[in-house]
Amino acid sequence: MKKRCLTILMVLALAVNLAGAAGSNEGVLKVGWPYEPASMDPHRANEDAAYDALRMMVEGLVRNVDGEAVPGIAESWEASADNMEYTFHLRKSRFSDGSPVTAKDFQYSLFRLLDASKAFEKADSAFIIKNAESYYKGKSKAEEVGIEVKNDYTLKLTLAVPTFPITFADWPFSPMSKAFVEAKGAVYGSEAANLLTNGPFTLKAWEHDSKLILVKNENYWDSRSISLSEIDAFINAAGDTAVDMMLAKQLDLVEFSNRNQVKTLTDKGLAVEAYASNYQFLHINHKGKNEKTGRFLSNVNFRRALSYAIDRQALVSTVYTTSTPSTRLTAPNEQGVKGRFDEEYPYAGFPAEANPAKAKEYLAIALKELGLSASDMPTFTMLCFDSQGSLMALQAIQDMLKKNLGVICVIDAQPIPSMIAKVYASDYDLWKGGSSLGQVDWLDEIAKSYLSSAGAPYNYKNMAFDALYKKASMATKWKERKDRMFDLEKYYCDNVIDLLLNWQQVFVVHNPKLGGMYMTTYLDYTQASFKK
Amino acid sequence: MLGYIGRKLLTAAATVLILATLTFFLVKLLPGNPFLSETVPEVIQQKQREYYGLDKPVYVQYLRYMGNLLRGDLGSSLKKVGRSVVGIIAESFPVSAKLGLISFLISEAIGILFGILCAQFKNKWPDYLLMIVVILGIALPAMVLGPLLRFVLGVKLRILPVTGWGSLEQLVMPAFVLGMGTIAVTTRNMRASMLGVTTQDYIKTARSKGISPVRVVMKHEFKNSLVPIITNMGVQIASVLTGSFVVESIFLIPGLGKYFVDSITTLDYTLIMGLTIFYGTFLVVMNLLVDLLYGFIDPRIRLK
Repeated sequence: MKKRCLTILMVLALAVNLAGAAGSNEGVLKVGWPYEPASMDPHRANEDAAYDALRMMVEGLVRNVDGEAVPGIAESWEASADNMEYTFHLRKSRFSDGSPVTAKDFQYSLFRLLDASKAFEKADSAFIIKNAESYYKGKSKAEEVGIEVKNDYTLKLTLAVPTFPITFADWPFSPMSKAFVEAKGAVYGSEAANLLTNGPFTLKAWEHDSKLILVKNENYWDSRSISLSEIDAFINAAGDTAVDMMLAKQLDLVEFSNRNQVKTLTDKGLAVEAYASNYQFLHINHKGKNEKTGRFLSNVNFRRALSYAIDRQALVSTVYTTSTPSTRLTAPNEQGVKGRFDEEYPYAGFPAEANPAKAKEYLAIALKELGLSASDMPTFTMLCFDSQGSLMALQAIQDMLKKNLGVICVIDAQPIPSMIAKVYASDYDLWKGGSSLGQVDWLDEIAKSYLSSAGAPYNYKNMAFDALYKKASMATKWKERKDRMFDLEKYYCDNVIDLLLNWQQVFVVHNPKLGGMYMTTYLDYTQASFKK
Repeated sequence: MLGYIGRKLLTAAATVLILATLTFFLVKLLPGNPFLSETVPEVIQQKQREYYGLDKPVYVQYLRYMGNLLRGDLGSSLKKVGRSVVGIIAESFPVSAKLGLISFLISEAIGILFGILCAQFKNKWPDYLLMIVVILGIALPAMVLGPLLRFVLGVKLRILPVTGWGSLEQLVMPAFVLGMGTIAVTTRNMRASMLGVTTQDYIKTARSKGISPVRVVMKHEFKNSLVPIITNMGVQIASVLTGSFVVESIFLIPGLGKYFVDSITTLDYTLIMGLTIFYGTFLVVMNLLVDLLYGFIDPRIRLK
């Protein structure tokens, strides 16, 4: 009798356990996003929210896994010695509706992107392809563009500049089904039903301004490696709202940039990890808002004086409390040859702390070169977005420049559209701005804005810089590229082409059972799973 | 009566057209354009402006927009690609309207009741107590009250969901926060209005005739005190039904409020225009309904 009761109890306990397991949703990841993507069309995506979603739903020729290019839809490829020709051999894979992905789908996608009549934001991503830019401008024919379909599973790309495989992880290099996309027309990517993707997840539902539900794509070629069954993304879940949702266990993962919010959650046992996500600059308009300020800003010693007058460490301690001071152009987690760039090429180009004596020294040299005195210094205009954080930062810098250098600045705070209009009209001297860390590196994302041909907004003209940039961008080997980038970085910092202030960190607060995420310059939780 | 309604409708239509014209040109005066970007090359930005017709002269854009408006087409959002303005409003307005209507009805009922009680117990402790509640309701902004309630009831006590939309429980906190201001304003207005009516001769006559105090209040004082309340209702209801950005942000409600702010910060011209026209039309219609309601409440008001 005793044995029978024990057996019944054990069976009951097992049943309860199984029921619990069946009812548990540990395959479902709930994340908070600060805002909604404007569109899920990969050719229109131009903001972080869309990137986060597309990273999970779309797979291109290669995948970016922790900064390394690994096979994606292309299971192998051959590159020419100068990295200007690639032949990709595609694996047999499918879109989420089961239809096959072929080389023609990549060709269609690229030509769609280059269709100027559609005005896609990401069109310039494809300008690395031979004659793509001139095709976009109507000066070349389609046959002259370096996109060739050899057969259903072989795609050849001829490029305009040496390119490294990791570039092809970008979603413009993802396939699109012509039949599906053209049937949807202008509304492609606007709703769940108007999207067809080929990546690890597919968009099941999109409740605008509320939630996106992504489910595991069973037709994905590597679906066995995906542990999560579903990702629920709650829109507008940020700041204190996200803190309360995490505390109430409504969310498993949110990114924060406020230390107090992070501490509130880590004090309750939640896990946290961090990565540098973007640069914060005090951009210099080398032409100046007017001729008087332009004379000073175009002088390299004056710019060196500004750099030494700014206390980056103090800014980080008081205003940008989730950042680290920038002492060079390359951010800490950017890719080097094999590991981290900053470890392979150690360097400090900008001072972390202010050095007023040195600042005054450079100012004296600058004034002598300009044939002017301190009393001739004009008032400089510092432009920023009208937010509390930007204003606090500029007020601190305004104070530093006045105390350490005697430079007077006024702050011009504007709403975003007005600010950008002023930037492009060069209606500023110094501008508080930021830039995301690029998927590849800063050479294409940031450096090309300072070329003599670029003009606004920085109006920097320097043939030596142009030559160094060209040398780096034409490197055919990865190490060669990194070596030349280092040379360019040293020139950039030594000449204070711009004032880098800090690298902003993002804190990823998450359920401690969640693992398998990786962070380089962005967070990727495609391979995430809950530990049992 | 029909003539009155007809005149009102014509006035409403003219108001909306003038509003649309003013908004169109005011928006064009804002510096920048929706496609100005630090990261998108100028050649692409130019193509975008051409694609959306923003490269045409302003008067051409205006005529095209007004032509479409007269056909009921508010255009597509410039920033939420592939979504029509009508579609955005159709999706989010019912959410804001449901929240706003429930909050409004409950708040008005509570406010009217509080106002009656305050007037009846003038300068006694119920009057003082309720006025304190009213002052708190005005003094505490939604951005303070909302997170406070969310933390206490949602996180600490776990008796209500922290955020979200769809269930009755998810409606409680946002409706309360949204309605606090209405309760406060309606209580004060009702109290003042009732105190004004109470001193009228016909009320004294009714009381001296021996009619019960409850009947005097509910049948005579209450109805005659409603006119100022109804005057405010039109504007109040338009305001709560079209969404509160703050409340919707705090409780993650997918309503219309957020679009009002987003459209301006992103310079989404068509969405700004569409929302302004929608809100203006709504306000005009609500005021018309209020005018009609006057006649029902107070037959002395001639509508011919």
